[in-house]
Amino acid sequence: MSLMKVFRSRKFSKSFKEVQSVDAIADDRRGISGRESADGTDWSTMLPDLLAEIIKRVDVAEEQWPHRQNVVACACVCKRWRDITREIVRSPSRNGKITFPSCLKQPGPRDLPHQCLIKRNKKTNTFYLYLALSSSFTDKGKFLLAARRYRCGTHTEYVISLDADDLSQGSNAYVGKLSSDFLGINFTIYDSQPPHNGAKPSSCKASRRFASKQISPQVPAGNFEAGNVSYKFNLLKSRGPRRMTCSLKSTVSSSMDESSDNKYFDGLKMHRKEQAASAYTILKNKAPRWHEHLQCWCLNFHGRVTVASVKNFQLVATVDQSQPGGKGNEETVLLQFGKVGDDTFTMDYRQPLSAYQAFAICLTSFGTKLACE
Amino acid sequence: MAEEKSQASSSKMLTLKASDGVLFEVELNIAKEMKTVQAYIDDCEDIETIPIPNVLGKHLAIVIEYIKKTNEEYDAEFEKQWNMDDLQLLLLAANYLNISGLQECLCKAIAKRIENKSPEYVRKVFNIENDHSPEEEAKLRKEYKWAFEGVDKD
Repeated sequence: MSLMKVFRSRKFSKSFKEVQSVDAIADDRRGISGRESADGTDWSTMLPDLLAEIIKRVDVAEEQWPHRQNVVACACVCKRWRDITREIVRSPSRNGKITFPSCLKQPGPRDLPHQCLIKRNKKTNTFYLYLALSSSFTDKGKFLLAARRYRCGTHTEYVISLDADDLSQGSNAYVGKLSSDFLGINFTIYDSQPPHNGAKPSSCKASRRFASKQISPQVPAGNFEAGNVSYKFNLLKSRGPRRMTCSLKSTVSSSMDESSDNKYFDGLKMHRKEQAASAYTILKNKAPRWHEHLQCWCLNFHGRVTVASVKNFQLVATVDQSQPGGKGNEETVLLQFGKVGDDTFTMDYRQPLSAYQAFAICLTSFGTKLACE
Repeated sequence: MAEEKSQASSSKMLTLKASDGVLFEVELNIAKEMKTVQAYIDDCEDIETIPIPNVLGKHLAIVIEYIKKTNEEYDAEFEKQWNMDDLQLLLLAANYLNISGLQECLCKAIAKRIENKSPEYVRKVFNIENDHSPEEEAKLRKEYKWAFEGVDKD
């Protein structure tokens, strides 16, 4: 018996903890009446380490959509599973992956861009954004966002939603909108969520009607200005590509809210609110080269754009908060958009842009632009 | 002398005693796959019976069998025989006994059972109570709406 005592008191690295918790589970089984089976197995109180091991395997096994849905399901099972799943999805190695709808407003991947498709329905003035699941332009991808164009007097609005069937500002699935001036040259991007704490919603004429249940009462209702896109007025040059500039309020990624492994962000955390208020990403389109032989303007889309169109563009950053010193790398294309079919377009985006920002910017490319080619 | 000793150890038998008193005689090299047992032996070389207070005889038998037979083919078929209750207890056993191969195999198996199922199904199968309030549940349906689309009919 003394040997038994010695055994129990041993600290076998992590196994000692298990002795205690397994005993605790056993006590639970004896003490609590009700829902346990004869064996009393209770996954909800499963050791967090083991639960994390299981969910990590789901995350790794289901990297791509549509299977990635399994990871989202794990987040819904109960509070404990939700917390563990969020922790795993937020780890730096999973950065840029699209797992939850909230990831659509997080920066995209750092290296290889996400390849997406935009499908246009001219009859209903609706645009659908999909995450491409294969290299084919005709395969159905994973649906991400939808937008519908509305003409409101002298300006035009695109309402953007998570729900392809519900494209109203009052919808639960509403995520933001794009508003353009009369000429269709200057656009403002609005986000239904504040880009940072303390932001005040913009006052705008179209007041938002809410569903009776406010999902997040802490978040102020309204539309928050998230960025601008403008096209250069092409008066004298009737030929020539249009020029665009975008300035976007930097998205404060969720990884900055908790302790982050990234030392670069650690220093910013203290003054994050003030900095976030003034931090912008500034983009401009890469100028195409004039191809004397082909007699046309050319951009290298690396096969992702197959139909010539004035809508096609590539954006690079001049100011990029994700880079040291905030200086953008003008050789790296952060957003590429172009036609591959009558109503099909590709959209490739990467960090620091989010899917939402990329989609909104691409939407500005549609529609006639007066005084611009 | 050292050689003789190692020869003797390789054929040495050890007794493992499960929590319900069931005894298992195993070869030392099998027992050593359980790092917890290995650590125990390292400290008390001449021990012959090792108590395993957290594992039932039923599961210890399965664990020992796994160690003896493990290979790619066996592992692939292994998990299919067990229900969720057994899987959990086996996982706890593998974790306690510190057998990384078995733990990996079981985690993968359990992860597989979550494939393409709704959160409600996962709760049923794993016997987990939904501890979200109605408001939280509504928030979930928005925040994680992709989890509720097009899953297998349960």
